Amino acid sequence: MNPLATIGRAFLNFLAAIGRLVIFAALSVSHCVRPPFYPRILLKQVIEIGYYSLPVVGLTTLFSGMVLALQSYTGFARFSAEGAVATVVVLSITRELGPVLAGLMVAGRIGASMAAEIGTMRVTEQIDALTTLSTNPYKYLVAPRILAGVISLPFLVLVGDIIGVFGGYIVGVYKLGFNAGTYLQRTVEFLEPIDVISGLVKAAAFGFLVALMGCYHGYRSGRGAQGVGAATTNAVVSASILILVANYGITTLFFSQ
Amino acid sequence: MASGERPKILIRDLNKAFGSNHVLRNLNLEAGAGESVVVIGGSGTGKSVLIKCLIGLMEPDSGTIELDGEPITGLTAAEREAKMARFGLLFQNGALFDSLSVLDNVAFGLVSAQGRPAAEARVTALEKLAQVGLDESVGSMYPAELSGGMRKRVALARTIATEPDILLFDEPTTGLDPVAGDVIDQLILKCVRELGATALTITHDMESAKRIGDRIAMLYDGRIIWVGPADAVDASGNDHVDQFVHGRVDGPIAFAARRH
Repeated sequence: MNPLATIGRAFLNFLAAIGRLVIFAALSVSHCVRPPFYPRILLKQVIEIGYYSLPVVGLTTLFSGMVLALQSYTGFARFSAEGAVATVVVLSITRELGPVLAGLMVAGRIGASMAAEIGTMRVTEQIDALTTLSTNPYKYLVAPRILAGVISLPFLVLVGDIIGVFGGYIVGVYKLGFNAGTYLQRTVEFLEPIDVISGLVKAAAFGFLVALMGCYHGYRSGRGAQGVGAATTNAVVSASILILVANYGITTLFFSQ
Repeated sequence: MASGERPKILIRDLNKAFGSNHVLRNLNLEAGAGESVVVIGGSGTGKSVLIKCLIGLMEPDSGTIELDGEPITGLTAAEREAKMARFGLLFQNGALFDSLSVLDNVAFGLVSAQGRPAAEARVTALEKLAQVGLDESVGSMYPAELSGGMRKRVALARTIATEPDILLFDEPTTGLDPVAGDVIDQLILKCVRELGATALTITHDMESAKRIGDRIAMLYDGRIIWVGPADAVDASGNDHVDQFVHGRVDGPIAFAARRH
């Protein structure tokens, strides 16, 4: 076998996969803004993503905020900068950890579930049945999930930010001995609207990516249980990687000088 | 179908391949208005591909499909959606929506395809459930709670709910015991007659084919190799048909592992 041909074939397959994904994304977005809309399905997905993900996102950000306070304190103590702990916690949570951790948690919980549900529908011909009943599967299955992802993630991240900062506050005040008033003052002193807004923009982008990858891999699921299993894995892995890549891109847009 | 009469469905020189696997090769078939045509053939001979090409779920590589003299291949998505409303397809495994109740499954097409209010659609759905022998109490159940026969009945109710003028049945009795299979066949006959619809059924169940069909066509090697009245299939004079109908191992049909 010619190794160059193998590399070339792999590269062409990669490009074809990118092309399929871009077409799927463009079609999905176009169906998000064109009627008919399915508000009941959208509401159900918002509850599924936004409400039922609250415990996992809350716990993740709570402990991340606590660890961040502890690590910052022990690190900053080396050059007598312990006073910056509250500021570091709030900036790290709102700008980075809140959106990224919430995105990754939702990718694991919702991306997998979307891929499995839509993949099973594909395997059992339910998606074909939708088409035969004059219902566009992009409109009925994909568009409400993508809209719900974009709507729900910023809400989740906002709540996660508050819980994460609260985690830092608990460790700062009750373990590290900071004065409660001073800690809160330091928390808000250097926090600017752009810090929170950039996190919420990231959250919306991550919500889009998680729902898109869940729907895409489910929609293109292979046959049988193995196909659905592979779709689920691919949805979580690809969404997680894209979240980290997009995180860098959006951070560059907001904060590069 | 009477000679000279324009066929309801006319399929000409239909070809469909998946890579090097040529599933349909210049397939020709027609069905008259109100006629029930059954396509028989072994597993993997392309029966399901034929139905998917017919309903627009797959695009044929070449050839034409006409409905009342108008081509339905190569249409835009919107044009195809309009044509699709004239079809009803009973899927092999029912393809009921897991997340919806039986009643919502049956009412689905009435709301989405015909734009009828949900309450009105549910009343019609109950009538259709009664038509296939299911009572009101089944309406609140979910597909996962139903037996195979009941799932088929619900799927049939969903298929006929929009009163399409062309009904397609994909292996309607597969997976059912003989009694349940007979019941489904009788229901299919009743529904087709009541709607006055044209029916195209694909199956490898010969008993079912003889019960449902006015005419039977044999699909082999991607082509229709024999067409005739249902009551003539036992004495077709065609070696392939004879072997298939009588389920003999020896004969011109060789078993081959196929992907479709």
